[in-house]
Amino acid sequence: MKKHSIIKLLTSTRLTVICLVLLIIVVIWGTVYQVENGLYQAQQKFFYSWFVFLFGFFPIPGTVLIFWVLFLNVFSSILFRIPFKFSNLGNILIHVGIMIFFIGSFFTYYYSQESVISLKEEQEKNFSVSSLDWELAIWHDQKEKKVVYAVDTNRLASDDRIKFDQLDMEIQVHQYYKNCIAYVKTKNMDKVDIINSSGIQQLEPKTEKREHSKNMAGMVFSILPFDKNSKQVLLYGADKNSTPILRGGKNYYFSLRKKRFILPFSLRLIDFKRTFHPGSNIVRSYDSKVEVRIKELVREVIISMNKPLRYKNFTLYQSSYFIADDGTEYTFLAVVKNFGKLFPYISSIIIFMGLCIHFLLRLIKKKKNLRE
Amino acid sequence: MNGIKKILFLSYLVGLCISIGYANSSEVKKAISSLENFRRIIILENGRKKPLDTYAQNILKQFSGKSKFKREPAIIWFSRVLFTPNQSFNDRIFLVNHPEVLNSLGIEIADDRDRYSFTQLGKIFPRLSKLAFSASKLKDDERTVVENEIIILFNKLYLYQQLSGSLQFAIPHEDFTFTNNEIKKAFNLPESKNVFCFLDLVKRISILEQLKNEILLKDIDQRSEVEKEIINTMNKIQQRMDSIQPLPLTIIHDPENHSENWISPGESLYRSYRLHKPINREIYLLGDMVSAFINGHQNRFDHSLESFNEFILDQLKSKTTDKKISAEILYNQIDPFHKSEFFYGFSLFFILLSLLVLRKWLYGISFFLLLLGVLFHSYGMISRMMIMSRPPVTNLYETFIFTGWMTVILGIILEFFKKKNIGILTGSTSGIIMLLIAGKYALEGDTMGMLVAVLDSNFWLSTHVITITIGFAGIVISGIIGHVFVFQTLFIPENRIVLKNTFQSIYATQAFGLIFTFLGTVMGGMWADQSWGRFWGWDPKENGALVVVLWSVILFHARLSKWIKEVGFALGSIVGIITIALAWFGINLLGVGLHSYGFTSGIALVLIVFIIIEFIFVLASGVYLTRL
Repeated sequence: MKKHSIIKLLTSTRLTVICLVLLIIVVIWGTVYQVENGLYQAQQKFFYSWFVFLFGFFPIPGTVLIFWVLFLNVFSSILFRIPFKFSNLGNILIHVGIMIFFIGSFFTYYYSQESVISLKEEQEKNFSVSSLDWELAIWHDQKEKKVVYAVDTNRLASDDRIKFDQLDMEIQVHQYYKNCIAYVKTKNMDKVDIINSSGIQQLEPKTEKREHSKNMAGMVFSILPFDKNSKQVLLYGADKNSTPILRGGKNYYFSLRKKRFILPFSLRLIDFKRTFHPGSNIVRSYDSKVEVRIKELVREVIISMNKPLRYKNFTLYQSSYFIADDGTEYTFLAVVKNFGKLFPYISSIIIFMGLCIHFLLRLIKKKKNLRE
Repeated sequence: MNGIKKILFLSYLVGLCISIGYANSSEVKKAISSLENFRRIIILENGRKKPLDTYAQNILKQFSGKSKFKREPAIIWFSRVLFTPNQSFNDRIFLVNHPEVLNSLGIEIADDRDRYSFTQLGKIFPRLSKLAFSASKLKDDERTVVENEIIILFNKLYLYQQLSGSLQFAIPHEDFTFTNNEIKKAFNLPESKNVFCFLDLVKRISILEQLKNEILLKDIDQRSEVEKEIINTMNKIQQRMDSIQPLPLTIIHDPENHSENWISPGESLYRSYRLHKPINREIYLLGDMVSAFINGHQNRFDHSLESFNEFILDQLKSKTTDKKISAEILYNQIDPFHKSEFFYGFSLFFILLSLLVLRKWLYGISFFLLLLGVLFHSYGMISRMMIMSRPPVTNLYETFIFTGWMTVILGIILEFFKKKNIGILTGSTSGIIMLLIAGKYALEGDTMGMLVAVLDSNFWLSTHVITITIGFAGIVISGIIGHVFVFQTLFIPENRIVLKNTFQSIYATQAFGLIFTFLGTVMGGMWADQSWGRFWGWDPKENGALVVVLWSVILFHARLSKWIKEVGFALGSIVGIITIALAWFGINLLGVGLHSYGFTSGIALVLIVFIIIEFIFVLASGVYLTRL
């Protein structure tokens, strides 16, 4: 049977070679890029993108595109190229394993979520915070449970409009900076009508930092509709105070903060401990003793290097710590939520088995041929 | 560095060192002949209990880049530094790697080799201190090579001075010369001697303090000359106490504060003095050792030393420590990796000779030497595992040791099955290269250092690291056989059987390498998932391993798609070595990422030259062979 030309192309081992060569180029380029621009920028530009632009305009495939093509290549090879017979068992297993690996990668790429929970001793929290993304949060005076409405500002740009249907509110963004510095009102500054509870009057944009988590976002917006009394509201990432606005007899509070994720459990830091190898400055272990509260169930857990806390799809591992001058200890636990975490394990086992069977069968075949 | 304080302290130490030297130079009578037990003294350094033998070797390596001084074991040189510092002042042990350092210090560059003595460098110490202080204020990436070297040289001299002063409390010193018998009587000192050591006075501290208190009640004008001398001596004791407290050599176990707490003799004396506690027994024993060493009394020296070691071991209450110390001393004495280098070198020599003159007995000798080399190599690795109670690969030094061993084992297996010289040739070549590279890393200090928290997992160290290192060994061997194949294609293209055999070896070792590198990389992902909650993070080290795997997969697919033939596969396997070199060194040179713990310095140039040479070789042979 003559194969269709598209199938022929998709099952071609030459296509595999081209994809793998491109992948090597992108991986090496992205790795070197990290030196100057940090891991986050490299991930965005090379590893989580469809295209990488050479000299800023010439597109070459990014990791996502290469992975998709390789996925189709492997899938078609299993269906159309590799004959289903015992001598090909290893080969089939390798390619099935790779397909499962790709499926897992897509799950991780699209659905995984990374954040950090910082706790000082005796503090309890039920949310973690993104170290990269910001959100605009709004809430109003309520007697009972506080309900917060938040929008991700990751893709926000100046002149965008955001609508909060539940609050019957729309805002017009005038300025949005991923990284900026803020100035409070000084004598030299022109008088402007800006509302900010900490007295910040102006934002100055800055180039984004190599370590993306150190960027400080800022925005200026107005609440629609405009009228002659309308004032602009300024929010700044480092501002600890929320800015209240009186509207329709209610106080609405606005805050630009790191994106928060509500966890299905709460954590309380009991103690943080750092142990050194005797007579040295080499740290032997970092341990956070925490109390985990899942509804009514309470238990104590020690989270340390190489020993994370796992709960459903969440993994919490010891990421960092800080000891203040007054001796107060803070621990930083990274929180990773990943639905596809089992895929790499399953695929790796299948690929390894496949590799062993494939080369073993080849060896046996060779020996047999020699004997004949 | 608290600059000015440190400079003042150091200047004081320099003066002290030199004065100690002159003070006891006339005391030396005859030398101690055996230091066998001296090696066994346990010292705690950077979290690890080790024999003084290892410590001395590491210090000498740090100072001079060699583990021996004038063909003598490091411990002999070290005993001079501790017991008779003046006798080590002229030892040319300080390696200065950059001539500009000497120019900037105004020192004449030596003709023979770039090593200098303390006497030579001591003269420029104030200038060196100032330059090092200025350089240390700069950020790491702002410093030039010369400035880094100045800091290194300063640290070496600083450590040397500290070490040479660490047992000074037991060395007679002119500061404590008493010719007046009335004073000796008041201090309860023997009248037969005039010059005493610091310890002689500290032993009598309660008498001295009582005398001092009585004298202080009197007006200054009413004090006699003897009384003034007593006050003066007390002031000297006070000054000396402050200076010996921070000295190194943590050889005294201090179970009082913490079960794993070790202190230096200086610290021990200081605590006894400050807390009005009796002097530790170890201090008396050390004092006896110093006195016996200076006077050449071997029996007394051995007796005090044995008592000292027994006392420490009794306090530790651990039999395994003693066994490990013995094992480490034996390991140091056998020096297995140097022996392996020697045997691999000769094995390579004989196999090349056998290829030239086609004598079977030469082949036999070569194979035997390779086996002998791997025997020492295995002993070295097993010893290290037993001493440290951990898997064979835990740092960059050990990756070379293990990969070298694995490549030799693969070479032996190949030779066993094929008997075509290739196994011996590749095994001995890779074995010696890997051990030579490891040797360079050994100069950086203790190769058995403690692990940082993130690496402290014996399970993952013994699975992920070993597996990936085995994989790397396979790919390295494949690349070396690739070189052989290229030469065979160039010089004996008509011998198809030999070429086919060699190609099969390349293919098999590449497949072996791919399986284990893949498995190791995946296990790395699993470790990352267990520790950091994510399987893959595009960290440079992960990417390095991925590139090695991808390149190997490319080779197999390119051959399958008929884009490359045997020569192409062989040339590709040589490029495989480059991918490994980049994953090994290149990633560490980048100095970024969660894995940048094994930071490498000063090898960038070697790496670039190696890559350029290999690329030229691959391109030239590729172009030439495709034209044939």
